[in-house]
Amino acid sequence: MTSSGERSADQRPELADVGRLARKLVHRAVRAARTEDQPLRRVLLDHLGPDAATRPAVSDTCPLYDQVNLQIGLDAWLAGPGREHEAIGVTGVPQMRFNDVTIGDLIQAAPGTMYSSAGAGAPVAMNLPCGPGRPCRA
Amino acid sequence: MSNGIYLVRDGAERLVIMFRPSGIGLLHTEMNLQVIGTSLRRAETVLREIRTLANERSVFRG
Repeated sequence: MTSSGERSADQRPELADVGRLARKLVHRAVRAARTEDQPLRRVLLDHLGPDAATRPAVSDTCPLYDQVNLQIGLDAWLAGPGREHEAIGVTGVPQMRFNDVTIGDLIQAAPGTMYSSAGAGAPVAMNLPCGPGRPCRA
Repeated sequence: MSNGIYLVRDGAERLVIMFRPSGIGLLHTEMNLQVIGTSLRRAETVLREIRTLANERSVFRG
């Protein structure tokens, strides 16, 4: 057990604290300076190249109940020979739940607009029912 | 996966695939699959191949 006298002695400022504080400030400044303002846009541009905004895009929809099948089809396609992929989750844009955003919207997001704050995070998998007596699939 | 983006390398080609629910407001009624490719034909082919695989492997099949 520590007495209150020993505790207050531990908390007394030391010369080394100045160095510790300076290091923390420098780390924080470096992190802020190197943070991308539009992280997801940067990831997409790095992957597709500078002509990303003019690349052709196609889209397709299916009923929500078919999500598990579309995911299975997508996973099978991604596992094809000669293919590699990285899955990322879109973060920092809660409005995405209410809007039909396209990849082009994310690529062409101007600074300060709704999607400009979109970040690249971990993808979120969902367990979905596959029918009676079958395990859920993500 | 929900609200996910796939950065794909298919040989020398690079594609982006986005998979997310869509609909009006919070009422999501559909899943949307978008593909950006090097050409329109290539993107359409990728989408068709994924749909074909989804139909072939459907969990709703007996």
